[in-house]
Amino acid sequence: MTVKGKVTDAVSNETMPGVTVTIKGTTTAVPTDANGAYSINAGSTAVLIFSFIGYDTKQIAIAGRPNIDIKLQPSPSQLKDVVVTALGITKEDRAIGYSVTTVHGASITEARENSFVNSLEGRVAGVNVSGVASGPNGATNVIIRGISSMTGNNQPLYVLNGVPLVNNNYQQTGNDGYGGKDGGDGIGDINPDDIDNISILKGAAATALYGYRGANGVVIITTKKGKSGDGLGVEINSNFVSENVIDETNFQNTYGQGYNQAPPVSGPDALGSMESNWGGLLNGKEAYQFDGIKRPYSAVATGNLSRFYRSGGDLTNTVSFSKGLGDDGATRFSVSDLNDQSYVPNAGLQRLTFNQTTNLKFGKNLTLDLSAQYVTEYTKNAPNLSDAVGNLNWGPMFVPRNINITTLAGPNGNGTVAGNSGDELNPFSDPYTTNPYFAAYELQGAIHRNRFTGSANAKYTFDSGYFIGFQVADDYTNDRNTNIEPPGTGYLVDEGVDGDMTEQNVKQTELNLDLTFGKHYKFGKDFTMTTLLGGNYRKSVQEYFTAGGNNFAIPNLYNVGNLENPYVSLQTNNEEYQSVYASLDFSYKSLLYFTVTGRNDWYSTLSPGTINYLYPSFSSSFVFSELLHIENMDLGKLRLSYADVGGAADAPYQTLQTYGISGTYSPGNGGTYPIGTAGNGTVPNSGLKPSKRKEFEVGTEMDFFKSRLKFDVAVYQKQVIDDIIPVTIDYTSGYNSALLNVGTLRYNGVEVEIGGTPFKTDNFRWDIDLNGTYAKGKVISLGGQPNINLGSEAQDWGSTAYLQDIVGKEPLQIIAEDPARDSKGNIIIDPGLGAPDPSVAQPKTFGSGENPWGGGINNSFKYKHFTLSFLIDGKFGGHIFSNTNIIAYQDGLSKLTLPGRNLLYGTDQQSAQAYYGDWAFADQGQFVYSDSFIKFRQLIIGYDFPTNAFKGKIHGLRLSFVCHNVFTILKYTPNIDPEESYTASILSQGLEAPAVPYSRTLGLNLNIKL
Amino acid sequence: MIAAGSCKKDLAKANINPDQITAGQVNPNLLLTTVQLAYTGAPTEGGSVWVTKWGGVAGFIQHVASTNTGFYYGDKYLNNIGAMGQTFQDNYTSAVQPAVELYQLTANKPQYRNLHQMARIMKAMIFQQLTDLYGDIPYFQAGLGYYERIYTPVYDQQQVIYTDLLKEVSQATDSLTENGDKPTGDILYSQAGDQIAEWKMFGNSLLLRMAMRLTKVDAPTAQKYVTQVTGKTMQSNDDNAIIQHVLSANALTSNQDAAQIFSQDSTDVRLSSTIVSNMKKNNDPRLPVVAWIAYGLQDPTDPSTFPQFTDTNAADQIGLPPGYVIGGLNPAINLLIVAKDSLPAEGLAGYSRISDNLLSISAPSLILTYAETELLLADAAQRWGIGGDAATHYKNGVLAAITQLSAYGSAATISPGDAQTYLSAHPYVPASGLSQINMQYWLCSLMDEYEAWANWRRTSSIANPAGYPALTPTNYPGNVTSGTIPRRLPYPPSQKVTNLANYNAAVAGLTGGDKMTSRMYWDKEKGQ
Repeated sequence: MTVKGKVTDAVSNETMPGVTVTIKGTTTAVPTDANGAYSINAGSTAVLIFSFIGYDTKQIAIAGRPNIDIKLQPSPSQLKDVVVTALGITKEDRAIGYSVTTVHGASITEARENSFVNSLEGRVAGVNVSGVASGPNGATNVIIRGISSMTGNNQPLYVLNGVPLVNNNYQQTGNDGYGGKDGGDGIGDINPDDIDNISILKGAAATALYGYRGANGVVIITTKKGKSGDGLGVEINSNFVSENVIDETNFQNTYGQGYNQAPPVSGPDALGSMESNWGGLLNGKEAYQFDGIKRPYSAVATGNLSRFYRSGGDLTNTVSFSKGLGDDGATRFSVSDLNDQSYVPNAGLQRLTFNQTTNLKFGKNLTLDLSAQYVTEYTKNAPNLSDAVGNLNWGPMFVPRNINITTLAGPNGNGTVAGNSGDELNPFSDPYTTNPYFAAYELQGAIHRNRFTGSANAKYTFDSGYFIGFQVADDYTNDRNTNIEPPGTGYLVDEGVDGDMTEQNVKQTELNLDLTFGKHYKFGKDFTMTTLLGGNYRKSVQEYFTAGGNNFAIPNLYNVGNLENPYVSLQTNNEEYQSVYASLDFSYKSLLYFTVTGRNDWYSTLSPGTINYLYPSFSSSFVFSELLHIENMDLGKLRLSYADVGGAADAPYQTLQTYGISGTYSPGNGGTYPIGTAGNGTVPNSGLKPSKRKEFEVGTEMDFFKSRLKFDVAVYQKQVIDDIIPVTIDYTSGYNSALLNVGTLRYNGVEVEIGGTPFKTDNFRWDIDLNGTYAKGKVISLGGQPNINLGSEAQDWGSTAYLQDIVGKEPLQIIAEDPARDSKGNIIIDPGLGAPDPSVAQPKTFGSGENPWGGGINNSFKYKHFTLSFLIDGKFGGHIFSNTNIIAYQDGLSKLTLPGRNLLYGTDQQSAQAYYGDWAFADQGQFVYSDSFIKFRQLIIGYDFPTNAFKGKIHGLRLSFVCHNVFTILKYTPNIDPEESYTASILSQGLEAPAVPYSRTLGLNLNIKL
Repeated sequence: MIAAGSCKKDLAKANINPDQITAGQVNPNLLLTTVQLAYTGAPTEGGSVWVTKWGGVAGFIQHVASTNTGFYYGDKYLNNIGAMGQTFQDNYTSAVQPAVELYQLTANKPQYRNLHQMARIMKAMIFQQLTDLYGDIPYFQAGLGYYERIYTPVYDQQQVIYTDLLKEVSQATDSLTENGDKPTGDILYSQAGDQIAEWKMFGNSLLLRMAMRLTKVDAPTAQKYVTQVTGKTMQSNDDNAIIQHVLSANALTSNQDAAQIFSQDSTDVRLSSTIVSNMKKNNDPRLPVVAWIAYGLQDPTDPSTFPQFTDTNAADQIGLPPGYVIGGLNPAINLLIVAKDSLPAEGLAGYSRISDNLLSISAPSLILTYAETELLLADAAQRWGIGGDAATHYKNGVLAAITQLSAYGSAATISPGDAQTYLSAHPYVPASGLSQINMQYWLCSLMDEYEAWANWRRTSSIANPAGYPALTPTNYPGNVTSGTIPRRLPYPPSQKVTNLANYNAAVAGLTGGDKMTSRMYWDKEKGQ
């Protein structure tokens, strides 16, 4: 008889092409077609076997039925069977001697973020993800297994379909406390809907084949491929989320604006006290405000954040087409449109992504894989962060308690004065604090990005088993960054500058050529060996072409041709690397595996005398479950690996002193003089050599009860030696830093991943995934120096907090002023001041900005067509210095400043404002908080519509409700989110400064498969 | 393999910055321009020129006063460590570093013989300003992060520094030669008729300024150098060292006084009553040039519409008395209460400001002048009877100090006749000569605040503790000098971070600690 039917995925309800349907006990088999349908001739009592890689095999007795539809259950353990490793080489899971975590695309698609990397937070052991609080298109800080470079780039290498990506976050808020913008990074451009899976290589042995580039870990992204077989598949994914600010402030509401316990007595008085909340009791009587208008002196500032920030919305639509080309391969094309109206007023992000992959087979020997992605992206008005200049986040946070922030919008609603002069309505005594509405609506910023990423990979396998492969990969990005500060901008008026602007063109290219050659050998029936030899040539160019200047000659015409004082600058960063590498894989039965690799790199960025470095790796896997047959254990293996890899300098041209010209001096009395510069503030080093990372790892992986319970444990020690760091030196040397090969850093870590299905019936299933991380670092040596300085904070805020790496301690120590103490440790109160004397305070260490502990639990419940999943994650043991809190304290906003407002202090009879000011300056440790937190990170409730309702026209329809940053379960930081950060740079991890407040997203995701 | 064909030479070549100049290609003249501009202040917004010079020193010396204690601590001697240390923190990287580069790039190169002497003189001038503010400072090891890999320079004693400064300027000035190069990067004198001759006068005038700092502590050395330079110093206002500022894309070319504080809209800093009263009482022709009353925004919320009202009439000018605030719980320091009778009709807005003649982005900096030089020669002549006739030098100094304002433009130009009238009304009286001379020095160094403060300290001695001019200190509650005018600036707190051991050693050598009241070498309390 003929049996027909359709095979679908039991989880996604997606139809499954290519499933093998075999008649049990025979070799007769047919594949399902592109729609998952099969048709097979078999006896009416025969048994059919349905098998597909990554799914539990199912056996069904025909029992005379002509139609049998089957759902196949994905098998997590089966899915792990094949793992993508370095250079895209897939290996059997059991053969791998180091830790690799695979994340599937589905888990980051539904409750998405503009940058998919943020969705990895809390999901993978050993991977510390934190986004920058910067609005629509911020960068993400990803640290794998702790810091690998004390001051340099710590971001992993991202590889998209074999193409190493440029992930440059060149525009970041400075580490000096003087503010700036986050211009995003390179990895944020990837469309999550295109991602099939992500493979995270954490340790040095896993990444050794990437050489110097893999030193921070490698994230390999594989996009979806066309379905094999024939036919066309269409998939539509729509996602809409709203985004709203989370107000963490809890300020006092007893006293209002003014000085010395009195409300402002006039408009000018109010104008001069907009950053002073040391006024009178909020009694509801009329008092002057900055605009000269009297309003009730009442507590109205609570809610200013939600008044100023708007309700944002983010709509993403992706359509993909997939077509099989029969035996010749398959192709997939997708288009995605993202339109994000940020909750930051007048800011947003638009992104259009085209992605295609084509896999071609020419006969049995030659394959050609083509992959291309084009992204065009517009980021509007990424806000200034950290310092008050141009920082729209400052006003809503810090205006006095009787000020409704909307009054700052002014008569035109955009923070300008009445009329159409366009001048800033500046309510602050200091023009360097910008009206937030002016910052949002009048300061203009745009980043236009066009990016093409493409690769072609040809592989020819000879009949003898030898293969030769060649890949060319290029990532080309062009950014046009425009920033305009119109002539009415308060701080420019103050400087006598009639507006300014910059246009920056940034071109980044990365070309990689790889040639590989190898063969698979089999010795007898038990031994195999695979050899691989390869060479890589990499050329990276970054060009920053900037034209800018000040004073617009014709009003309201904002282009560089209209600048009275223009300038141009060009910076070109050229880097060139040449490498050869080899690997040997051995296996004995399916019991013992080991891999040896070696790579030699030649670097352009280091001293000509010592530009190459050879490094080895070794890894092995022992599948002990093959020897010891433990009941209910499906897999048990031990892993062991060691690698020694090298790192290059982060940037070129650091070996020689260079000179330049910075503008021209033309005084008008004759003579034109170019203005010279010497060096760039860092002492160059002509003897730079590579840094080294040595890592030893052991681990085990076990599966029980047919994958109902599995766990994976990894223990490692990582050591960074000769780290290239710009050591902070005293500025009286003429320089702020010197580049030295001096750092030694050690991390000990443990990573645990546990997965299980505690409960499972035909209709109900409960899956739980748990991961835990411990990674504690210690600075071993800094070349004889006791410490080095990292980022610092602006001193004019009253804070002198900064970060140091200190020998013998964890990295990123937060240093702040501690008051003078007597021999018993009690704070010495200065009799004149009635408070500790800030001038005799001493810097003290208050703990590390790095969280050594982290983890997450994801629960997923499925009942018939409903699914509910939620993620709870946390980080523990780190610290954060909060500038928001020290400013709130000095401005009299903090509840801590409530007691004793009407008293005079010390023999100098100083005011409460001065008294609390002394405490703020002298005792800055009070603003260092534990950074530990637990968050209810994500909630997804989904419904899969039964596909039979659509008469075969729709193969899958899923609607889900999604929520990200649901609520915070535990935190210790008053008034701010514990994850608040203003830069992705390692140099400020643990220092907080006013940035965009955190947000919650709430929305719907619709997935349709046609 | 591709890499097998690699060539170290290609990789090394890839690491040469294609957009910059290498040491082998650079013309050091470029750096002389930088060094000269940088002497007038580090171009940082809200930087040292604001917070140290105007927030502090100009208030110490009672050129200005303010009721805003947050930014202007100078007239009240309040503790503002970060602000007081800012010049120390800025100038080593903004001025010392290019000066050392210029010095090194030109050393032992015959083609840069004169340029090298100019480098020595400018470098000495930069260091003198720093040591006069802070006392013992890193000197011999400073700025050598690149050339000597000295990352945490030790502090040198001011006495040793001064010995070397005098030696450097003396040798460099003597080594300038008409038969050498004519440096093109020189913005002071390359447009002058005889650049080298002008530099010799400039060098000798600077040497005089340095030598006269030692009045109290080492008179023989001071006298030796005064004698050495007599007749070789500046001869007229045409020889003045003036840096003409302009607005350009490089902030270094702007007048930092204006760029960093006032521009057109300062609302917080006023001329002090000490200087305005003096000028008013003496019918000083400079008053309507340096002062104006300006208030009112045409649009009350828009600073660019300032001022609505201006008044440069000398008779209307009122200086702000130092040491007061507006409001507060303490009636003794509340300006509105204390100065009730003398309060201008417009209140705080009615006090005189520094006029926009002196305070604009394109106003020049007069870094060393004929007037100052003549007044110092008069001081030496009066004190020790060397270097000529005190009365003549006084006369030259007073006339030049008034007429030198023409550097600020035609609106600021005062006729020789008006200057002569002022001089005739204030003839030189040897009995009160030192007082007269140094009063004039204080008047003519308005805008050159560090110099004004140093000269006042130099002239205050056991015999004359109030200094010349005799300034009455304020005693604002919470001041940290026990109501005395500060004698030095504390080191910046950042020194504790980046140079702790050397900082501690320097502080250990300071009698009285790292305070404003501690005395530096040339300002010995027991000096004569």
